[in-house]
Amino acid sequence: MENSITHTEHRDDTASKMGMWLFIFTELLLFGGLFIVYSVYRSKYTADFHVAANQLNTFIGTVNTVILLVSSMTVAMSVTALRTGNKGLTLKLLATTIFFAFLFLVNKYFEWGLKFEHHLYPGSELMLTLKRGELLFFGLYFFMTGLHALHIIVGMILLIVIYRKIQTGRITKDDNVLLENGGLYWHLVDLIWIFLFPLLYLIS
Amino acid sequence: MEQEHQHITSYRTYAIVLTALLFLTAITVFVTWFDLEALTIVVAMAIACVKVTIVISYFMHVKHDKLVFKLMVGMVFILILVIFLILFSDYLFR
Amino acid sequence: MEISAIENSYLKHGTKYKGILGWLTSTDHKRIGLMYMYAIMIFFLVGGLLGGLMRLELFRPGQDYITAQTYNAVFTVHGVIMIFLVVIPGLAAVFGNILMPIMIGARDVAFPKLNLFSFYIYIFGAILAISSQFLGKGAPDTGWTFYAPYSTDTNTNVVAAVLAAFVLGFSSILTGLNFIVTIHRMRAPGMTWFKMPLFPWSLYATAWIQLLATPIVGITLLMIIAERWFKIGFFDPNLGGDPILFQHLFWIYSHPAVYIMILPAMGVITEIIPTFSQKRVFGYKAIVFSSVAIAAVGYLVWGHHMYTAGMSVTARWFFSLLTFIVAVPSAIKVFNWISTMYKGSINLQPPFFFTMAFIFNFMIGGLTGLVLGSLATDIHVHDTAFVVAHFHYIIFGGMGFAFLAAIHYWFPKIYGRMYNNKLANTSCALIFGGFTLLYFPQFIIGLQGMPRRYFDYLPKYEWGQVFSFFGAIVLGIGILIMLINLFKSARKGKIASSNPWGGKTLEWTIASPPTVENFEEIPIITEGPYEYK
Ligand code: HEM
Ligand SMILES: [Cu+2]
Repeated sequence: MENSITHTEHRDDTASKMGMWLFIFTELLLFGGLFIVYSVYRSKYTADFHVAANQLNTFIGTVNTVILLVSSMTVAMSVTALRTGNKGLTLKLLATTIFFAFLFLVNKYFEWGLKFEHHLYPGSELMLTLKRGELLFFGLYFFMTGLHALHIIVGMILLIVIYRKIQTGRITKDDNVLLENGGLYWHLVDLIWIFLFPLLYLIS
Repeated sequence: MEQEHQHITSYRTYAIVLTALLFLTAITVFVTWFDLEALTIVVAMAIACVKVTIVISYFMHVKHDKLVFKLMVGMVFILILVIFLILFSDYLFR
Repeated sequence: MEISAIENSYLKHGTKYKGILGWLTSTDHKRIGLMYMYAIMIFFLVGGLLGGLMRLELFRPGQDYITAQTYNAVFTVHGVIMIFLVVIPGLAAVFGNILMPIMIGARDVAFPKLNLFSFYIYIFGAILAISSQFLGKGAPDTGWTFYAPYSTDTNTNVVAAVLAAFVLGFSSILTGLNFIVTIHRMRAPGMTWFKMPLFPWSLYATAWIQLLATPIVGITLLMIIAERWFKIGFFDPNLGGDPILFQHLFWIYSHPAVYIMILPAMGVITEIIPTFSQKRVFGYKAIVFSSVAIAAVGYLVWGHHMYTAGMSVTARWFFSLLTFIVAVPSAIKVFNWISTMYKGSINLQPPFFFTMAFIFNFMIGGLTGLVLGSLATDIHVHDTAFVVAHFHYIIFGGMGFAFLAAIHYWFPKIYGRMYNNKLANTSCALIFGGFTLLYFPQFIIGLQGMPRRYFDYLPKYEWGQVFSFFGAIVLGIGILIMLINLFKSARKGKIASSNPWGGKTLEWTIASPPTVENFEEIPIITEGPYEYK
């Protein structure tokens, strides 16, 4: 630590990264609360949950899983690319990640859209006629995937900002913690999906 | 504050990690074709835990981070686990 | 020390803006801390007046001044304001901000802009909380606990209040995050973990609770809103939900939240006692570990609020056991404080008197906590005035008195001036006396069966309510005298030296009030924080 009198913003990458991790912890616990609710009702209404889960489209779910995994790799690679000084490749990899994020949302849109067409959405009349366990399952399904999609959107915006900053040279080979943090956030979105996917789509 | 040595993970490692993750995904989907009853959820969660560990260690490179990061991450997951256990001391025995 | 110290201090120098704008845009941790203090003081006065209103209604049995519905609304806002706006941010946001960076030898927190941002989130949450009173269909009437399914059914404006709690939680999370990183990364060279003063240690333990517990209530509150809007049925038994699950989720946060309130208070007390005993703190490591243990075990005892709610028997005795375990580290701290004073050269000054009051109240609050924590007795006193007395003894008698001790202890450091000792002692005596008169009778009528949150009662409880009413008046007078003393002294008090109490921690080595930079040169630490000769 230098002893300068001025309030120099000394850079501490470890501090920034720690801040990001702490934030990720809060997100994990946020979803943790939902997983608690899920597991309680699943243990209470096991049969209903199976029936309801059958109506989800495993195919779209699997595709979205693959999309997120691949995008997680591309964003991780973009850090490597930046650190080895390959700005062009960094930007390409980031653009790919952002594209995948968008693709995920498009899929989600169609998935939800189909449910809405069948009058299955929170607060619909049909929902209220379902069995209690099924109602809870769909409630949780919309709440959890909705919140997750919100995180995808936030992550996407974050990555776009980072993309601009790399382009304009405000994130560089030596000063890359922002990209790293953006990447961490994106992996978080992936982490949560890794649990959501089997719990919602694969229990039929 | 001097910059710490930054570990750079190779593209190849990432590619291998992705392959492993996709493989595990394939297995989870595959096992649902069989009726394992109560075991289904156990298998699915076990695989998910493996996947999460891989993502955290490699993609989020905790493997090459300082010890504090490892401790913090470990602590948070243990906490979540303990909350589950204590909560179910209610629901399982009601 | 002459007047020039004040002229050179953070009070006069800040950002490029002058006057009020210079405060509102400042990222200086000391200015942010002071802004929190003024905001919290205003909310405290509002909350206190509402409390006075309830005491007035309870002065006699029957309905006198306000209707039952208004009474419900009043205890709800009173609780929301006091818990979410006053005591949870309380010590951490005010004294944590102002002093923690100085005590660890840093120029500021790790993320100063984030710090200012969380202040504005706090203000935004406060505005939401207050507006919930006026917007929509009537003020919320659920109590600060928002228990479902009533909170998902009532027509009152619950959504705004719930949203306010959510937003305030976010502010609390960001403060905690900032403090953890600051303490990890910005300690002065040579200050190892075990050379760090104990107030920062308690803030560190607190920050982890803020970080790891708040998200759970955040998501729970969002579920309440979703349930109100979309009829999802998370907590509504008619739709298959389980209202007890709401209580679980709520207390998973809100029990740790009580440690968010009390841990920094314990930290303050641990700073004050060595200074006024001129003696090294007894059992430094025991205090550190008990802080950490309280944070850790305190996370796991939430079920003691739900003994009568319908949990399984297994869960009930298990939570009772855990509750008893968490009392152990709290007791360890009390022993440490007493042992520190033993054979010290005690200096009887206002901060020390407030500290004594703290220890006294905290012991009563803690022991009655054990009465509540043991399964069998709680069945009898749950939801009675006994509980009300318990948590007021801990929160007001404990955290509140620690706050007052802290302000009297660090006042010369913060403002560079000294208050009137005699007035301070008088106000301390009045506040303590009024407080005791106000809350002690509640224990007794609670044991006799006076339920909490009722606007009416049987005549046999009247004597207690009358005592409480007069206690509230004495308490109010004491607070008024204290405020007058402090406000006057902040502007016109005698100039204070940089170390009026003979403290040893780093904040006493710099000017009073500190400069913007805190330290001209970052000190190099070689010995522990309490090395008195
Ligand atoms: C020795 C430690 C403590 C123990 C064993 C303890 C135990 C309890 C128990 C069992 C209850 C539930 C009573 C009931 O509703 O029937 C309770 C209520 C409460 N306690 Fe404590 N407590 C302790 C310390 C604290 C501290 C440090 C605080 C705050 C700073 C606190 C604040 C509260 C509050 C706010 C409530 C009432 C919540 C409500 O229902 O509105 N307690 N306590
Ligand atoms: Cu509690």
